[in-house]
Amino acid sequence: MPNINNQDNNTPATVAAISSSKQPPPMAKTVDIQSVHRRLQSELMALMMSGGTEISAFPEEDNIFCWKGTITGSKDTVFEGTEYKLSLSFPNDYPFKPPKVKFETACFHPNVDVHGNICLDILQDKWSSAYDVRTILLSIQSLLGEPNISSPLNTQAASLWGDQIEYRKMVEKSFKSISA
Amino acid sequence: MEKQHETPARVETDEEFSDEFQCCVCLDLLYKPVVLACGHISCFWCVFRAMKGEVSHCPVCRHPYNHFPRICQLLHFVVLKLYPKAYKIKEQQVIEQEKKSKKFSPQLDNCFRSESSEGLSMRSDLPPHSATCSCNKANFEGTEKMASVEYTTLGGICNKQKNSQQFLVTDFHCPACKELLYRPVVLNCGHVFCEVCINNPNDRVPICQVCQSAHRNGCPKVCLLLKQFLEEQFSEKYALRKENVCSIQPSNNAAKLPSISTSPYPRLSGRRPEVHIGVGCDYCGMFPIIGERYRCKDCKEKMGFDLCGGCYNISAKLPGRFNQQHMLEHKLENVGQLHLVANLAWRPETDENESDSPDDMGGFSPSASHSSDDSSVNQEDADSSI
Repeated sequence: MPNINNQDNNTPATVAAISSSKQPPPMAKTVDIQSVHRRLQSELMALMMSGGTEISAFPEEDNIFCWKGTITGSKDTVFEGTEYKLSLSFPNDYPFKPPKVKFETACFHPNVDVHGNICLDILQDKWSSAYDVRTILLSIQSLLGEPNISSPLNTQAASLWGDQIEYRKMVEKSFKSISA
Repeated sequence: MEKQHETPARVETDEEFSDEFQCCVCLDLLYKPVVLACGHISCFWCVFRAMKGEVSHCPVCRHPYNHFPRICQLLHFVVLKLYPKAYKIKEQQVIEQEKKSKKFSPQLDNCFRSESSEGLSMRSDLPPHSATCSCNKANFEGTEKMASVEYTTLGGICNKQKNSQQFLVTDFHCPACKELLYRPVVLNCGHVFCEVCINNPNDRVPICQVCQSAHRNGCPKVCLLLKQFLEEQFSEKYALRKENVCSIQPSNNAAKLPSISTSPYPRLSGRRPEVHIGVGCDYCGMFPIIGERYRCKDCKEKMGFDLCGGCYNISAKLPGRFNQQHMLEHKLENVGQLHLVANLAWRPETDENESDSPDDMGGFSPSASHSSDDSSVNQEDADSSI
């Protein structure tokens, strides 16, 4: 390729010294920390400006890589009137990898285990770098009302799901015991 | 965190940019935009870093693709002209990152005729010809003969700008029909054509008439951002083009276009070809390289320089995708699968441990059956090639 200019500002003078070795750099994971930071700041700004009441999220103390989020149970579902806290922990290569999201409030749900781990495809193999905190929380909110019964983490919740009246009682019971 | 990075770029500058020009990945101004075959746009590095496994997917619509497109220079210079201040800030950030990672994006020369005399203040220190742009220059050569010079001022999506910019209509001509781009589509090489101008039923893979590269990510869809821009920028001309095109090509136009291919891989029979996970071809953009891979022994850049078997054999003369100083006299060597682990050339830098995580987003592509676990695939192929 006849691109022979050497003095362009994209090519530092040290190029020859760096390497002919093509090993990945040991510090590769930290290279982009500032752009991750900027992206999270943008998300925070957008969330604060949107002013929705159904979901909210904010960084924990002074660490922008750890957020606490809140979702409310949607109307006309067994989760109506409930509120759940979640934790979101962002990797250094966010948004190219999904954040780790867990329920902090115990949630009786077929796709949530006793530790608060969530089984949701967009937080795993169906993650896309265009998703953000808002879309994650909205997805979890809709997961509450529309569980995937075929691959449950909580089998008791999955088997009870068919009986919505009993299920509602369980939700109320577990939710009251927490908020009490 | 460092204090100076706590304020997003959009706050540091007075220059608010329209949401249409926001990258869906970094949530910042589009910088060196790459247009995927589905018409969705992201920054060069944002697209590159999001590529993974055997098939990559559009962050917006999950359309699968396996060729890394080149930067759409036309769109790049539209953004630069609309939002010079925000662009400058973003550019500084990216240059800083590139220096740290020692991996570089291609440089771009201004391709707008209207700018050519004055040059660009921020790029004036650069040599006038970077090879990346030489082919794109031809894109605008056709406009030289145009006698009438026509300027329009900005409206619509861009009218938030205080000092309204002027665009030259001849900079937005289709290289094929030499008229204003109508329903623009962006090919893998970054060149822009009217949708109807690349609709060639005899040729399954569209070939760029400017640089002769094949567009292998399926039939491209209209880039809506660019379409909207043209509609607002040159509203009368665009309406006229619409009339003309529709009268020649009655409305079955959309139906004639084949839908985007969901099988991005060539059908290969017999033994499964080698898949060089994390390594891309610097000419055609195939990512990962499937089949033979040739690596340059003389390129010193950290990114390395690699070609797929096809591009090696036709000895194409295109620039590398990461500003590598590759020369024709450089020697290339055939790299087998066994070397793979040591040579993570084109690999997005955040993905060193890609093979540890089952995060290939495959699922509706024919290759999904063997892409669930990269490491096992590698092992299998390595074994069979011993």
